[in-house]
Amino acid sequence: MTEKLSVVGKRVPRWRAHDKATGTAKFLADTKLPGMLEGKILFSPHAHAKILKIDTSKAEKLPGVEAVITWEDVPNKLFNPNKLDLILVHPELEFKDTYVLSEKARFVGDRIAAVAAVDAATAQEALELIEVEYEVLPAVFDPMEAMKPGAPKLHDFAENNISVHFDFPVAWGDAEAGFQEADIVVEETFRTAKNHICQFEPCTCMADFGADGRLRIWSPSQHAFLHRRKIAEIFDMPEGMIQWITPHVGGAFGKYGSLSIEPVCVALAKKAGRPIKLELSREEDLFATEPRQRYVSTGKIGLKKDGTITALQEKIIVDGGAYYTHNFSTTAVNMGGFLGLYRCPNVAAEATCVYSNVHPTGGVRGYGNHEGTCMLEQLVDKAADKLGMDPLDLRLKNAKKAGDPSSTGIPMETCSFEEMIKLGAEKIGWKEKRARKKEDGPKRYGIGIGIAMDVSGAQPFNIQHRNAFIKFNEDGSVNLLLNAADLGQNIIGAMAQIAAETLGLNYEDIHVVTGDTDSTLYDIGQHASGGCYQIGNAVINAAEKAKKQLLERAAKKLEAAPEDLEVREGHVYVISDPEKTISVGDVSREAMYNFEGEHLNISGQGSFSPVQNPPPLSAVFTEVEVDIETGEVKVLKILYVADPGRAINPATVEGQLEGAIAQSLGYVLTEEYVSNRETGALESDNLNTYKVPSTLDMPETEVVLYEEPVPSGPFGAKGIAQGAMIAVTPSIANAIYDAVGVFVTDMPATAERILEGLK
Amino acid sequence: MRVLKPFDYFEPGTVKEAAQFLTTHGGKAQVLAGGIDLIPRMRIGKKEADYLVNIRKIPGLETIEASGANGLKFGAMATLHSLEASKAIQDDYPILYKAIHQISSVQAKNMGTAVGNICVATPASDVATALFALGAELTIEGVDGERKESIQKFCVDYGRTSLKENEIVTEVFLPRPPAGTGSAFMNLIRTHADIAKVSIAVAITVRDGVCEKVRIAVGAAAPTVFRAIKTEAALKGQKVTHEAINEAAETAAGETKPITDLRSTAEYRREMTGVLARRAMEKALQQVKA
Repeated sequence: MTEKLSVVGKRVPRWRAHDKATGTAKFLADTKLPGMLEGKILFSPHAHAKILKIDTSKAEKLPGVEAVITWEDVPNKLFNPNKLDLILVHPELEFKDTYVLSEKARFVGDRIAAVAAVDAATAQEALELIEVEYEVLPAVFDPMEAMKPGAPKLHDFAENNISVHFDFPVAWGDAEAGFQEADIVVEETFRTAKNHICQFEPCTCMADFGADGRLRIWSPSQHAFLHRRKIAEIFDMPEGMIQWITPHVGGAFGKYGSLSIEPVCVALAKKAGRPIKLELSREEDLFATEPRQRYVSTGKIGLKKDGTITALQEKIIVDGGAYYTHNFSTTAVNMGGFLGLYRCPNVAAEATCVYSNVHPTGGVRGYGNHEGTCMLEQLVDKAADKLGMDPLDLRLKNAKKAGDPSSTGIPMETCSFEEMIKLGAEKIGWKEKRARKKEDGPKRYGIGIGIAMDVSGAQPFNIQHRNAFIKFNEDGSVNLLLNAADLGQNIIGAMAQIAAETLGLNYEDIHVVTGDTDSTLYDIGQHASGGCYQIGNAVINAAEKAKKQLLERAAKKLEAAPEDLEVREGHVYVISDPEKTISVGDVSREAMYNFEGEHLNISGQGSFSPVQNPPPLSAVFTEVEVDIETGEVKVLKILYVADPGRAINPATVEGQLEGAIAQSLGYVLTEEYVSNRETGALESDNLNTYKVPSTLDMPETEVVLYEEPVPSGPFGAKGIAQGAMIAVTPSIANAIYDAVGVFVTDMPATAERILEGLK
Repeated sequence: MRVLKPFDYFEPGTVKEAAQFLTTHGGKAQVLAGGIDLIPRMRIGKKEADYLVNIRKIPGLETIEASGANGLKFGAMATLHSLEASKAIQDDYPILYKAIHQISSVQAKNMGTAVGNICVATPASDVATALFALGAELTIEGVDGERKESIQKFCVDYGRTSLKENEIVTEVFLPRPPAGTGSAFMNLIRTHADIAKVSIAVAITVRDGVCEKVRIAVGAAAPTVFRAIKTEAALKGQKVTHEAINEAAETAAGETKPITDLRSTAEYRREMTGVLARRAMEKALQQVKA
């Protein structure tokens, strides 16, 4: 990649930043359709109960109420809200166990009924008039208890509440032999945190069956096309009869990788025959939508005296909650991260997915890799301790290099862990700080490291299919049509930069059309940090096709061969004679308006299906101060060295990494999802009790972009956003371990737990 | 989305008028000052009111009046922000300044009042903890006239004050700390935008190395903010040595009646009361020396 870039790599304003900064951007909460009703959902107050009778007559009679629905009004069809069964290589591992509304409640917050009324207050009032006769069943809240014979059973098909037990499908070597060979073995059991992503905008959705019989859904989905197909299946409709519109998204972080409240909203719209808006409160969002998957996970690492890793093994109990959702897929990714980060000849992993009467979990930023890698990275530090080695040296000893398989098994085109670790160590002063005196009164100082590799999409495990379309306007600007939800990662802006760079236009010349399944081409959606890498390649493909048409037209005008032309800042030049030039607008306009009859709207369709899956790399260094009298951890500084391949917009990449640092802080230190032991009801159900850090809690941060363009990436770019928490979390845990010797196995590491650990 | 139930709204022009209205409507009326506690509670149905009596329009309630040696007074509508910005409070009552300053929500400080905060009678009030240590005295007015009461008598129990249905706290008086007084405020929080797990405010007056007077207030470690009376009594008249302070800190921890909730555990709160009390006393004594 030696050519000079004029748009890619520049800190241009992100797409729609102005609208959001000035408050003119319209989110669903700001949107009203003519004749629209507002909906509310009745959630189960019981963790486990069978509905014997529901009487909705009083609710229906309340003035202003237009529709009431229960399980009897929705399709008698099971589905999995996770979209992956549509694109996964192993769809048999994704179970369908969820109804739109249920006859049986399996957790406090399960959906029992819904009301549509003239306003939300009336709908809320009507909920209280629905009379439900429950047969309360015994409930179980702990996965270990749930597996015991005789425990209350959640789903008929799952004996002992085990939905599936599986081994890591692509293990290699002989783990047992590897541990035999080892000089030391470290084994620990971890309980990861079931944290909630607390996106700014609580779940909101609108649905309307139009006079044309078509269903329109407005929802901030990450997978408009896949979720459209899910809705089509549930409601037995052809996909083409559904238009899915993705508005501004107030944060997703993996949460909208599942259908959330859309099926209920559609069922209400169908019954009422009117447009419906369904908007959850913050409390409802916390207790009734998917938080992060929780694992009870035992990790084992074997090493030679010189630090060479000989074996890795992981045994996972997946505390998935009342429904299956992402149980298999996040766990498989967890294993990939745990087993695949370092060079290791012998690996094995197994997992048991368990149902219990707690809040079902889903896929959240890091998608299993976060938990798997965090556990491994903590074990590496414990092993280093045992071997008397610097944990940094232990990492350098086992770090993967270009050509080695990534955690997906695909050989890496580039991989400079060694250089990144050394660069970060140099910048933060690792050797000196690791060695320096650690005490100041009750304060203890510590420094830790964590490294991680993530993915640029889900190749080779999922179908990864992307499309983009480019068409020129008369003025030489273009419309770039694609279906990619801007979840905060600025995918749209990045795609516009890539289109501009490829076409030789300015950033401002790219007008993006997105968020509508009717007017854009198929795309699998935003997940696994696949957007930039995969859609970026589709955009280049589309742009090259459109550019070919442009140059052919321009060549005639300039009396030159197309291959002798170049496009720069909106003008076509003859390379050998730049005096000979024509504006892109003139070429485009002439192609549309001429009397020669050779008409053309210059355009191009691009597609992309990946072969590679280049992993973005992270090396994170964290300094902490722990108060040994109070157990309080103060994070002083975080240095993040990241290899995003090429940062299409460095400001966006930095923003993603800083945001992830904030989320890791919450994950490690404060965000605790607490349910009542007797009732199973969520107690930390608002932002007063569930504590997410704010800007005030941020440490000093420094982001260093170590850009090593990857040959298969668009201008060398890989994914970056999803994996950005993965190395931060263990680096904080390892810094605490360095400061006070407390090995954190239960997240979050609250002051109370640290103090307990110190005793 | 939470919907407020309908209520009638009343804006009295005088304290008398407000008290009369409260007498007429009894328990069905609530006094509205900043509303930062009342309105959210009404939204979630934890507080009900047919009538809201907004005292914002009553003249003079927002004043802050420092009269040097005589101490400082502030009215019921003095916002947390105006108290924080007061030079007199910053200079002479620094623990009140600090207790307010560390509250992260600018919105809460702009709307909320110190008096409203006291009347909520939450044990986790940092502001009340500072006011306990400063020996605050309240003026309470009703239809039958006014009465004065110390803040610790006023806070009766969790969420309960001595206020009658038709009374309003109109003013808070803070006596001026005597020469030789040092003070400190400290708390433990999960994040900056959180309610304290434990808070401590100490004001100690020392002459010739002997503790002449001391107030130790503890927040979030009992049903109300409270003064660690036994600890204070044990310290008074003693030489303020490290040993005496360590012992006092332990006594203070023993005076707590904490609970376990989502923020922390009872054990942690008890133990941390000791740690913070020691640190706060040490810090206050350093001020005296300086």
